[in-house]
Amino acid sequence: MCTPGGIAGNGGKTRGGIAPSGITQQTLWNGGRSLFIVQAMKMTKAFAIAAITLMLGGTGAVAQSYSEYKFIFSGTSYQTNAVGKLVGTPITDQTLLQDRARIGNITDLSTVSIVYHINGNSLGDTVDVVSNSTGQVLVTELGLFYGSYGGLGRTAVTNAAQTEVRRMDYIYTFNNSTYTFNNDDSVGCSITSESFATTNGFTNAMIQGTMSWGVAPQKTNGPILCIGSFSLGQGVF
Amino acid sequence: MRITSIISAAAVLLLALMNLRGQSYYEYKFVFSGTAYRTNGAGNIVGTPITDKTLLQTQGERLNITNLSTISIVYHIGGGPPYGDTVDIISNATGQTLTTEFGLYFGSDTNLGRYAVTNAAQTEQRRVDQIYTFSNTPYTYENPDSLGTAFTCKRFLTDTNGNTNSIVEGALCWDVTPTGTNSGPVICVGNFTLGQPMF
Repeated sequence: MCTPGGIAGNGGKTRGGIAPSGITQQTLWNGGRSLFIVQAMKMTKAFAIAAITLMLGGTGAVAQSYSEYKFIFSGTSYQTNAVGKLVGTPITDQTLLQDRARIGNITDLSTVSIVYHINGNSLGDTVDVVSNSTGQVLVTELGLFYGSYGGLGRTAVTNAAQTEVRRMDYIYTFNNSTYTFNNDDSVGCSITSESFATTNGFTNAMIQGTMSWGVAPQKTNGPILCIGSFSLGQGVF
Repeated sequence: MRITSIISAAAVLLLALMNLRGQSYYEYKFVFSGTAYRTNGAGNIVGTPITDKTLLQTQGERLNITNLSTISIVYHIGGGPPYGDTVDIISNATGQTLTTEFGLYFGSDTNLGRYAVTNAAQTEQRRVDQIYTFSNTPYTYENPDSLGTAFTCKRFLTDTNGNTNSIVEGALCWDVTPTGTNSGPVICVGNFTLGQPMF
């Protein structure tokens, strides 16, 4: 049986304790009203116009580089139900957002967003719940850390132009909610694919991946495992 | 015959064979299909298909075994006690473990805050296992820390004679730090399932 030094030495721990730091920024995003115009048009034209609107609205007209984008997630949470069967329930980014809002006593979900925050922490990217009006990070849902960290023997794959990265990020969760819990060690993994496009000096990101993570039993909940795919939506801040 | 009929017949044959042998197995052929991503000579990230045969071949080369029909890559239930399962290269003749390709450890270790989800009957389980690799090959790297995860789904079927057979499948991802002939890092992703029982 193979027992590497790390297992014997640290019992499988992947790091010590960390404290995510929030980043506060002002909002510059202005929701694109022009999208409503396309409803009566043919779908192909609608897609073309939507794409151009997003491109111009996201990179040209507003002309800024974004570090936070809407986090779009679709997946399944697995848990054992009351009759002892293992069942899967669909979850999305809205499920995660609603759960956070409930805990934070926020009833108007239009005031908050769940975002993918590039370099949201010194250890890597984060998925945060932010205020739409101020950009304030209200809570960090997930930390995607140590995906390229030589000290742990983890190395990302990057192209020569430094515009494309694939890496294995370790998922950390920091506080208790239905789909997260406070834990010192990693609770899952994300296969993250990033590409960056720079136009007129402004850099925009396209990030997607698959992630899976576990949640310890809390209150009346048994353990939960979540798995799904994510991508980025509109630039937010 | 229709494809469905062929698959059904094969499944019945496999089950019948397992019942005839009348034993519980803990090692099954490891069937893997995935992609290895690396940066090529032109500086672009490219994906190359890899399978269980690719992994077996590279370990065969490291072990100086030229006749690959004498060895197999297997999913070994409980192969790394007390940490979890392993994926091993074994001798077909003796069942001896020649080397370990992966350790799938700590998927259910409450000290680390990791919990598997299990049904009440204890016949089905889903877990996030940490992947460890122990040797330097084009697809593995000797490292004391975990280098990936497996989202693993296990099912156990017990027949009327009390013999337990396992169905394990999942998604694997792991990375490889440059060593030997690897000039750059490699990220591997893919899905696995179990093939025929071995031991």
